[in-house]
Amino acid sequence: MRNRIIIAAFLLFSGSTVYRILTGDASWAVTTRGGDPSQVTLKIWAGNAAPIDHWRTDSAVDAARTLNRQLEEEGSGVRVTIDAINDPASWGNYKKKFLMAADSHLAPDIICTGHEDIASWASAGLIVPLADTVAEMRAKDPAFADVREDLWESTMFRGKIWGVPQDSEARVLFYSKPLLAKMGWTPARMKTLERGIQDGSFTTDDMIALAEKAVASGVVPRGRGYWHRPTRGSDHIQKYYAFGGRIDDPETGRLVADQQSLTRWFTFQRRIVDAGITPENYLGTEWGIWHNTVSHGKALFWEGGIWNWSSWGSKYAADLGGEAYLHKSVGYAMPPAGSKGGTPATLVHPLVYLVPKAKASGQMQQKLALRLLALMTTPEINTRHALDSSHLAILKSQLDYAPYKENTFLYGISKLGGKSFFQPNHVRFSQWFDIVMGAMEEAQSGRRSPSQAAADAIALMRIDVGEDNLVFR
Amino acid sequence: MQKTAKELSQEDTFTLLSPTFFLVLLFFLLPVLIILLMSFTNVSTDTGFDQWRWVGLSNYVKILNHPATGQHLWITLKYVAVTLLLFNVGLGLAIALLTTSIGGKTGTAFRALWLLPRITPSVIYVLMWKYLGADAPYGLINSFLAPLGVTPQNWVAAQPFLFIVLVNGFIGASFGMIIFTSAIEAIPRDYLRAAMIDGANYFQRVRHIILPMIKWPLLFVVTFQTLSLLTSFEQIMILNDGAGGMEVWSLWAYHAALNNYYGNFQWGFGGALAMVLVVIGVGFCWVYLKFFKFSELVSQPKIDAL
Amino acid sequence: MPFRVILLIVLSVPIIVGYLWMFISTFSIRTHGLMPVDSNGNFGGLTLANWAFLKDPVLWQALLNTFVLAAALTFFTVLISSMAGYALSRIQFPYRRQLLSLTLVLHAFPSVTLLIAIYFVLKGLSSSPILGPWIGYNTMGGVILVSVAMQLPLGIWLMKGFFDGLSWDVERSALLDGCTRLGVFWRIALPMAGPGVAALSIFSFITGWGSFLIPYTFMMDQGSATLATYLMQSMTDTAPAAYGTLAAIGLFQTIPILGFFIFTQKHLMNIYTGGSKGAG
Repeated sequence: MRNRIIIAAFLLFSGSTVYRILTGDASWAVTTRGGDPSQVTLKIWAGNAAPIDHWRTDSAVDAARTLNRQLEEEGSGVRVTIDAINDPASWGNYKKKFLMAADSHLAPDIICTGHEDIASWASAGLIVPLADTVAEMRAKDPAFADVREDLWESTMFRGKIWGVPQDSEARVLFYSKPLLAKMGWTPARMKTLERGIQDGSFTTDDMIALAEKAVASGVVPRGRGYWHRPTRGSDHIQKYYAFGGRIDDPETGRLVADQQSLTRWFTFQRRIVDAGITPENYLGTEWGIWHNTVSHGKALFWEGGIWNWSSWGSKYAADLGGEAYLHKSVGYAMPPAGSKGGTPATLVHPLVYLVPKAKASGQMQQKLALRLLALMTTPEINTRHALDSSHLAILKSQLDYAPYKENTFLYGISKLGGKSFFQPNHVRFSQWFDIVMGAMEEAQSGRRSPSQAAADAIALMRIDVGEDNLVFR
Repeated sequence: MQKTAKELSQEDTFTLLSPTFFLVLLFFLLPVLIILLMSFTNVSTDTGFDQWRWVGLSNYVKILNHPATGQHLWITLKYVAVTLLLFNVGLGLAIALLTTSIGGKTGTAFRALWLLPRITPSVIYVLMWKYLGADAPYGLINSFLAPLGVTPQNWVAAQPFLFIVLVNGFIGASFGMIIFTSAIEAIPRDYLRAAMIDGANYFQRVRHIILPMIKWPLLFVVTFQTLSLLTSFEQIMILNDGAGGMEVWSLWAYHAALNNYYGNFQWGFGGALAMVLVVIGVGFCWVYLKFFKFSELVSQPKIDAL
Repeated sequence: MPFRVILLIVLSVPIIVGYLWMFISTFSIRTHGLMPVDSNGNFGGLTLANWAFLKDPVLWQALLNTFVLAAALTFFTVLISSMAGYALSRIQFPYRRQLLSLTLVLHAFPSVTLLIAIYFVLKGLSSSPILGPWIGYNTMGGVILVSVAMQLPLGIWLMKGFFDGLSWDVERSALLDGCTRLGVFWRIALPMAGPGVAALSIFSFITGWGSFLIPYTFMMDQGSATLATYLMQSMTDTAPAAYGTLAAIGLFQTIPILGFFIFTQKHLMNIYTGGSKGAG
């Protein structure tokens, strides 16, 4: 008898669960957390966040204090508390977690992520559009009017603005001043390098030649002339761009399949190995080795993100004298153009704050969330993050804000000039990106010739990106 | 009314098995059904879970037409076969035989040593291999090879296949090691003693007594670890993320469905890739179960023959 | 005899050298080969800073969470696997062989690709009567259930193999004395299976101790983060820790399991007596 009851309960339970899964359920509804309507909790998440990135969420706590003061002045009974999660998991895992949370109406009220997610999350109807035009966004709040004009482009998708920029960076060309000095370069001449790159007279060809000379003359050992990022990543897209490649076509809104530019880019990747300025089998070098090598001035040129600066100062070159040592021995310039007269360009990948819809967060607090975001977009708050994590200013007023201005490195980068570009907000960009990275690895390793690798990439694009999403050049 | 022994037995059987039924139904069969259904849709991050549509077999057609399919399949089979034979079974057995023949604290110490790769967080374990194979002056392998006149280089990138096998093999060996060790220890001492009196040396004892007596654990480890290797990708992902043609099938599925660089996950296509992997795995199971005559192992429950 | 030891040492060289490197690097700023070096490449740069994480209270919270998860996972895996393994080993019932084959085939399902589907199941469980708040999405109970399920193929086969090897004379006499099957399982077979339980515990505990994706994905609360999540803090894209710190956290994580392993080693010796089939 006892067992019969167990069997019956078991069947009932499994059956009802299976039924619920198969039918989906309508029992979820928008609810407010807690019973007291005057106490509002705003949840905010930031992903792939190291402890030094804590301002991405902690600035919300600061801003909430201001917000509560304003609410009190307005005579409103509402008070806001912040529930912040600074999530260290990888981007992939973080984004998965968000999708499932959003499906269960448990997403946060504000989520900080890479701008590229706007495309798929907006398509899926998980986030709210914030404005139709930049002008409309600027008119919403003086704080938004202060945001660097160019950054809004990274938050645009299907003619709307979907996010508020959180930070920005640049990927630049670093060089070792002591090594250049060994080759007979005076500090004055090093300044001309920066100018030459700016006006397009110093190109990747010149950089390769100079690095080859350094290897030939024994200033650096073979393979230490030029080190790019040792793993897959957006940094490499800069080279594709430098050789005339474009990721998307603004007119059609499609992604670009450009075999010629890919071939030119891949030829460069193999050429630096053949020239002996980058080691054979270099891709896959462990990051720690990369940091130790470049920050110690053991390579003549290297290209990488400016955020590395703080790690070099506080960790890898700490025993050499930290940031003071870096300022003395590391120079930086825009990554050079691929051909004479070209404009140097850096890829900028802003993180943005997005506001999930009620269907995703289970809350009707989008207006309040946006108001909080405006209060988080101040020179004081953003500069703290910029200085701690070595990121660039996102506000125009930060360039006149003393604490930012006093940081020679960041201020110097902000003033470098040149062109910055973004990766497109396109639903198929992730596929496009994975394909070109894989092909680049094949070309650099010499397993495929540059033109073969480019042809492979195009063939894969037809399948994984889809011909409807491509323009062929 | 008194129940018969048979009725009692049936109810007890159900009680013993019901938690398993429950978990298997909920977390294996239902998810597989869901994945199967998903593989006929275009569901992805950008469709969300409410704007997808049925696309028939097109995800499977895409796999068939995909230029990389052959490469992924070939590297998967090669990786599974080599790692399984050399490490998960071969080395696992060797370590078990050697440590049991030494016995005592030394044997235990070596087995604990071999357990380390399994219990170290993968990220750090793989980092260790990256530094073993790193370019001079960091890498250890180069400092051994340099005196022999070998040009230093990043061996992980130069020999990607060797390294994915080594990295996974040193983890895999400990599974076989633990199971074989206990199987060997369970062999009645009399058998071995009798053989020794007959003048059999160690290798003859291994060949004629130990190996035949641990046949079932051997076949179990072969089968179980084939499936483990087929679905394993974490170490490869951390080591080189599939570069150098090392993208095994499960890593491909992972990249397509769960973890591409910029986050538009293709659940539908990834589901199709996973289903293909499941079919391959079930195929292996079927061959093994037939070929190894597992039916003998599961033939007669002793205690029912009261 | 010494030859076998030498052979073992030779086979173990990569592990010995690798872990020696790992140990040294936890006390170094950087290493060239096995040598800790300063910024000029000379011997030096020794530091204790890599172990500073031990002072972080978050670590100890994560340690506790991980222990709870690993212990619960181990307990339920052993309980459920041995129940099923016992039935499969001792009782003749319809579809018994098919069920045994099925549990093996289950292992062919890549758990990571099932993640999204498992989410839908958990979401369904969330709204089930009574138990919903305990075992659904965003609950510790749900996470434990999923994790246990993933361990079942190994657990059932291990335990079945172990029960096969146990002498059944005692059980038979207990049955003849009128004891029920369940009673025999609980009072006689399970205690005799101690070493098998120990073996499965090791495998389950290792899995639970290292688990990340399932607890991370299916629980929202950051206070429930495991050690694996703690480790991630040190390896984000933009601010990765130096490898000395990573190695220190990694070694720290292995210590409890090594202790557990050595402690249970005596029992482990007898796990797979399936090998003596036909001999006893």
